[in-house]
Amino acid sequence: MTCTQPLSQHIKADGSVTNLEEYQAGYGYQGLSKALSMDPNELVDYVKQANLRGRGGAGFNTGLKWSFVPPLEKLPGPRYVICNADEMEPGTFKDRWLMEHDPHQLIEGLAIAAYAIQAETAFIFLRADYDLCAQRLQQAIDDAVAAGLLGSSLNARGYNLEVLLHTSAGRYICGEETALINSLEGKRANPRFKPPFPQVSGLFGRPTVVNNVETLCNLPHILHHGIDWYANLGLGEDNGTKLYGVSGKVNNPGCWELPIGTPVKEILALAGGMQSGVGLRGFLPGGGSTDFLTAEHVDLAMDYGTIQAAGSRMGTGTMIILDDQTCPVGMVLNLIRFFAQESCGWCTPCRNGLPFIRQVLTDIEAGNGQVADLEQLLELCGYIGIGNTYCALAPGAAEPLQSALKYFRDDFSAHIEQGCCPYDKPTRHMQEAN
Amino acid sequence: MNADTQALVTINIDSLDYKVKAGTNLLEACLGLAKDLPYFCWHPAMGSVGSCRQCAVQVFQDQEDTRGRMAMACMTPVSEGMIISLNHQQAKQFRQQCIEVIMANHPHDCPVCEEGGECHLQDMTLQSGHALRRYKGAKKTYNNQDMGPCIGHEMNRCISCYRCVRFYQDYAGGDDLVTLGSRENVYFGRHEDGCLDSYFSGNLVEVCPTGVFYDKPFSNSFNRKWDLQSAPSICSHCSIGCNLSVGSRQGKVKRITNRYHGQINGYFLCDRGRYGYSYNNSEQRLTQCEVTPENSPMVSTDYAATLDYVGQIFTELGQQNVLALGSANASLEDNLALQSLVGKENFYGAVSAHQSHAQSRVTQQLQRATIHTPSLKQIEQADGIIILGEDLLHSAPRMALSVRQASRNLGLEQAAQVGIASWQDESVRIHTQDRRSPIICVTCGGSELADISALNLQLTPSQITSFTLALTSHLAGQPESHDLPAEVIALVHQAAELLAGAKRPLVISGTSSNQPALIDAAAELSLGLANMAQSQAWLSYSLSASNSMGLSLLQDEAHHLEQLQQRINSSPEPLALMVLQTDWLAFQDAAMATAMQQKLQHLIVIDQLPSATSRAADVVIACASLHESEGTLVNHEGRAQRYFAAYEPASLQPAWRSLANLTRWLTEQQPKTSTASQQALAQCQHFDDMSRLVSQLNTAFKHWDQVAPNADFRIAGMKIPRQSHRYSGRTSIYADIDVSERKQPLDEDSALAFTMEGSPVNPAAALIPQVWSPGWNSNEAINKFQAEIDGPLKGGDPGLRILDHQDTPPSTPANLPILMLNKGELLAVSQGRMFDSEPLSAMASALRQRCTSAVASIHPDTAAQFNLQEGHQVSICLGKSQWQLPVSFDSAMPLQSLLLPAQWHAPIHASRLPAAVTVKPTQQEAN
Repeated sequence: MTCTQPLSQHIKADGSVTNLEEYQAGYGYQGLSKALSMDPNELVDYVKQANLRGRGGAGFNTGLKWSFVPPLEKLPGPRYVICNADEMEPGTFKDRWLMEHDPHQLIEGLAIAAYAIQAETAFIFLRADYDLCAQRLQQAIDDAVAAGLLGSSLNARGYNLEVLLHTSAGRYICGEETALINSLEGKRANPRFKPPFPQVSGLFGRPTVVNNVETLCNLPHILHHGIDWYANLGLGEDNGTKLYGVSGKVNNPGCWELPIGTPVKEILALAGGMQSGVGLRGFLPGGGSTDFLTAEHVDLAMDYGTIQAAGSRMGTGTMIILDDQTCPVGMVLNLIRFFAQESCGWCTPCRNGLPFIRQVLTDIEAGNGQVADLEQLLELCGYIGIGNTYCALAPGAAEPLQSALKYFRDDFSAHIEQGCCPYDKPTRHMQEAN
Repeated sequence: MNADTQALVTINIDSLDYKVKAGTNLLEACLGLAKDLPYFCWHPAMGSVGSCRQCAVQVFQDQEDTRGRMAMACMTPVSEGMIISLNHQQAKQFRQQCIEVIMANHPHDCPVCEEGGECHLQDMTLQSGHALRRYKGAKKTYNNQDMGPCIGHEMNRCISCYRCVRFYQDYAGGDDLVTLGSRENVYFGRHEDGCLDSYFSGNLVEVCPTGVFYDKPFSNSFNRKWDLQSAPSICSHCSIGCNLSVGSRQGKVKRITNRYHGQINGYFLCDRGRYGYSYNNSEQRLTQCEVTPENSPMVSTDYAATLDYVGQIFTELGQQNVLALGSANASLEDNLALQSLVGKENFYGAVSAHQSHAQSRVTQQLQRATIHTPSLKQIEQADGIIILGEDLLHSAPRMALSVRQASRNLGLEQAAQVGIASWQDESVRIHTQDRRSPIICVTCGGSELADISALNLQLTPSQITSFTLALTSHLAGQPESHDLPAEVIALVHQAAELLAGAKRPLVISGTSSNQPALIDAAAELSLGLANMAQSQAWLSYSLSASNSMGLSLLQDEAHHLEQLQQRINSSPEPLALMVLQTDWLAFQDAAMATAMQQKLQHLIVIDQLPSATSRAADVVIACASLHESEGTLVNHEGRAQRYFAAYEPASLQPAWRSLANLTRWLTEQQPKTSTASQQALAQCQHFDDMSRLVSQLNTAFKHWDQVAPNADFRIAGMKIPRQSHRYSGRTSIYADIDVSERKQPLDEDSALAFTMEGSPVNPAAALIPQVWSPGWNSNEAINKFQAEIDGPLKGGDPGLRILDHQDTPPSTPANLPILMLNKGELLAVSQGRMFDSEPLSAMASALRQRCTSAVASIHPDTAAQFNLQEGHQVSICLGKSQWQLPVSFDSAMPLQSLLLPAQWHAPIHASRLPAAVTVKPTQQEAN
């Protein structure tokens, strides 16, 4: 039997949780058993070969990431694995779907990752608002411990593992792996400078690997079905499946597991197409911090390379749709407000640059903009761009703005020329009356 | 320093090749090459964190690469062949943009800001080229907090560089100044209003690149930096000898700021040093001489008449009957003048017998060829420290700050192992967490370094000595033949284990517990540790006063207060006593003080402030303060350092000059009886004459002329101005009195001038009144004065270490009476206090407000024996002196002992302790 939707295979339509018994009725925890029978280095190589790319957005090879952890012989002492479940990217809800419905899948994946780097403590750093996830994950951890799937002496090597659930205090920046680590240590959630990378000096200064929920959920299946199976799941260069999501004015917003590299238009079709009366103007392919693509890009395959070549990023793979009845300036302003608010306040371009942009955009949206503002916005996008800031928050925030200025510049100009937002209903009504 | 950091690499900056130190970062390298590259969050002593993004430069892959990529210089290690540009358009524009966005909320209140004119933000704004404001939104505003008497808070000026909290928490170990809020609403403050706890809080004023944290006492009578008349000076409030820049105007000291010294204070002072100056401006200052002959109402205030009167005393009593008491708080020149006048046999030090002997042991131990006493900068290199009998944070605060840095060495080493450079401050701290090099504190009353201590013991002073001896024996593999209880022996073993791995072990002790035997024991321990670590023996002592070492080099160790007492009491002939800058009577037992006053025919006081002693004197010779005169202090490591007058006092002479004048009168009147030393002193007209006199004294002083340049020193034929070249209002400052431009006072004693004329650039390191360089108006200008960043000053750090190694071993210690406790007695021990243990700083109103209330601490079990209850008053008796204090319980205190605060004006002075006291509950609840 070929398994084409491994991650969502246990997800039930009624929204109830897959319990341990149901999870083990398939091949639940057999991936972990296989992993535990392997040498940890062998496991790291195996996953490296599977070319599982990080599903949190950066797309880095997971096995390769693990391989940077210094071997236990060279650097004895504790090391940690952390599951990044602080899903706060605007428009993104894929990890929640996995955790709420199939928590054991994540725990198994986390245990595999922990064993690979010889970590005996693993954390799940969970978004504050995900109450149901917290409840179901804790139950699953307790059940797994009770069943002897976690705990002490899990294999012949005497491997022990404790899994701890930590609920975040609720900041977008905690999704940045080093800010997450600081937060977990009880410090301010500021990102850390790299190098040193967490694999060398992470949680409490110890070697640490941080992996996204979806990434970890891939592991049990790769271990169970093998690398070849995994490679064949993808449509393009990338391997495996991907959870794609769509939000915005579509008929059927939601989340689906599809082969990685599925074309945008197929995903849009699953979302039921645009609602009546509105047309597709553009979309943010991978969450709030990715560049806009437009209707002409719907034929593109949703994989890391293709989307990047088109000038954006696949990010989390969850699209936000901009329709033709919604003001792109207002949408971008909304995102910039969010990012400005979520800045940790550590580095100048982000802390002071984003509020500066917010001010300029607010003026434009309110009809108080000037022509020179557009050049200034572009300049500010460059100012907060990649390499100029301490972490990727501000460069991410610049992405929807800089691409909106590229694709929707007329809308910005219209705000300035008309001295108001052309999409405001009264104005629109008046225009129609004229 | 290892070979790596000594190696050089070649980097290319804007098409020119430079050799820079390998292992450093680009910002340090550029600043070291005297390039102007703006920065905020980086600090030479605190390293890089990459927060402000102000130091962006363009880095190129190779010669072909013309675009390059931008990098933060502070976070980029230098590498061989690196090609960078500071002038590249992209980096320049980015630096300008950084200023533009931080200026969006800055209040631009420069005209009323305490920082205006010496503001790093102003300097960096100009340097970046930002001029035009484009931001149209409203500015954010914040509430300010009351942070106590020393530090003002004006949060609107904040640019969120994080330097304040990094200094306060990470560098100085404080926990009540924190980062609150996030995004553009980051707030640096306390959880609630209240005085900052840290003894180093004053550094926030200098660390902050703008005017958020300002010097409150200075702000209360403010003037601009460019209108200060400043002089290089030395702190007189403990034995460390931190270098100060004293700013004055209109004959008042306005403020004190740090004066960089690469081996001592670096960039930071303690609050006692920064705020302790206000005695100088006191209304109570003695401003004229006073002669009040016995049974005579006549009071003469004439200077010449006073000297005349004192001269008559010499004639009347005979020179052999005039005794003198020198001061460890006065300069070596002042003390030497006094000694030259009365002769060595009549010269006593204002220190107790135990103190005098302890001090003498210190000098002898530090002169041993096998022992090295490290500078504070070297202390920061130690990787295992044991502190014996000193609560360092009170007795030598700046040294305690260095010990705190040393405790990081384990972490720095561990970080280096995974490739983290020492200047990557945040990464090092994250990697290290709270792992520290071992610090062991052994005190009686507890140590405030407990938070970084691996072991923190409380023992009685004699037990501390036994502990030290036992540890030394244990390290040498010998049995510990000391009468210590088994649980203390276990701690000896624990201490030995902790220090076992240290490659650069350091022993710190001092004289504040008045135990000469401890001084010797500490020295032996340092040799034992050095033997184990195969390293040099590092030993540092904290001494009781700013010139304790200097005084001890002049004075015979047996010429202490008790000896003086005995001499006065047993003299068949009438005596006179000259007291230099010491409240002598305050040291004494109340009954003894009265008795001695009666025995003395004349009491002559040379001082700047009235005291119990000056009130009892028949002659008072008012003298200039440290900030009004020139002199030399010898610090705890034997480093002689010169201070200079910030301004010329209206009518006061330095003590040495009055003494020289008096001696001249005497030698003229009685040429036959005058001694050689009197004749030499009589020749002294200027400070350099005194200096020459010192150099002839003995071999320790032979290079005295190298302490600082003499009065003939000139740069391009010019003196060095105390006033900045932007000094304003020279003609208007006294306009309320008259509008003519006054003649500038002449300084015939030093190479400094009381004017704005002269060479403003690059004076000798000992003669830097304040730092300034084109485009660098704040104290950050120090970069331009250093031979390398964070290294020595150009021309070498000032001062001269005068303790030559002696071939002769230390003398056999004197036998001192052993303290025995009788039944019903308690062992009273003193505990130093930051703000009221030192006589002059104890007068500073800003510091007085920060004193904690005085209590007597005691172990609850001992308290029960003596029927003492917590919070109730206890009456403590020593001889005829009595002191009432509330009782405080401390279960870490040794049994049968009582800890008394070493307040300067306490009825029982700390110099009399340890001593056996009796206690009596007074059945009264303390308020």
